[in-house]
Amino acid sequence: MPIRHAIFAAVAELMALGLMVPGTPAFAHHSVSAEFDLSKRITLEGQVTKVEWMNPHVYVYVDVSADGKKANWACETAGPNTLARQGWSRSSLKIGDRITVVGYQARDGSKVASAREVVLANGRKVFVGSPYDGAPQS
Amino acid sequence: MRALGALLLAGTAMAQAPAGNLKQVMRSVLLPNSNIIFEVQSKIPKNDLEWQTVAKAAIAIQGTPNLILLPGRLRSNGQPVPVQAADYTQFAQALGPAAGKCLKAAQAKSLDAIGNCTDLLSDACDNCHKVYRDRP
Repeated sequence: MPIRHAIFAAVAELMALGLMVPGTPAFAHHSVSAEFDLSKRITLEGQVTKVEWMNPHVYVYVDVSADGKKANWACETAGPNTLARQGWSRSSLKIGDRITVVGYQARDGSKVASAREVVLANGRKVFVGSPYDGAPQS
Repeated sequence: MRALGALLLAGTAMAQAPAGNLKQVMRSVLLPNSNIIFEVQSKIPKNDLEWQTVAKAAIAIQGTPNLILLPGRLRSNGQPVPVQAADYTQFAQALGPAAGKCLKAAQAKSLDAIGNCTDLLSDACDNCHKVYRDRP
């Protein structure tokens, strides 16, 4: 089974089984400023639980603990090709990796963020937003 | 008689003015139709009818280069769409082949081909946005 087909099938199965959490973002093309509050910069620190390598945005899911509670955040980045040009591949982030994500929270208050920057465990900082998508670049 | 001619000419010009500014065209045609195609990555079409919907979305996008290259359309900031700019024209026209690949993928019901065409489609959008999307 071709790789893409296998990934799509796996995602579809997870959805069918109800294993994708409610509030999972649609893999949609949208205006960043319409979906995210660009005046609310947030920093999320946690462990990677899942990476969805898809167009038009790659999603990195991160378990973030705060005030004794754990929440799973969906962090939207640029698309696969843009990330690839920054030196990323689908295997750059692994489940369990500790990362820090800097970005903007969804306007609807859900645990979805437009990620601009990811700091890896080794301290390497990578810009992960779409260049010139209307959001501040840093 | 001359006044009537001027009125007729004005009426013709008004009739030919493109409907909607560029942002409205993006949000009415490109965004919803590209999202139908992108959604295939997470929600596989279940039957012929759903694949036809994907094919129709690809056809809609195939037609957008003409739509966004029409002279006389304004951007949401009131400036004219830069249809004379060679790079803008090139960016706009890149949507056609990308959508063409998506159409073939939908007709073949090929998830791999859809995956590949979403790369092209996403790049076509990004390339233009890099240059022409307004910064806050």
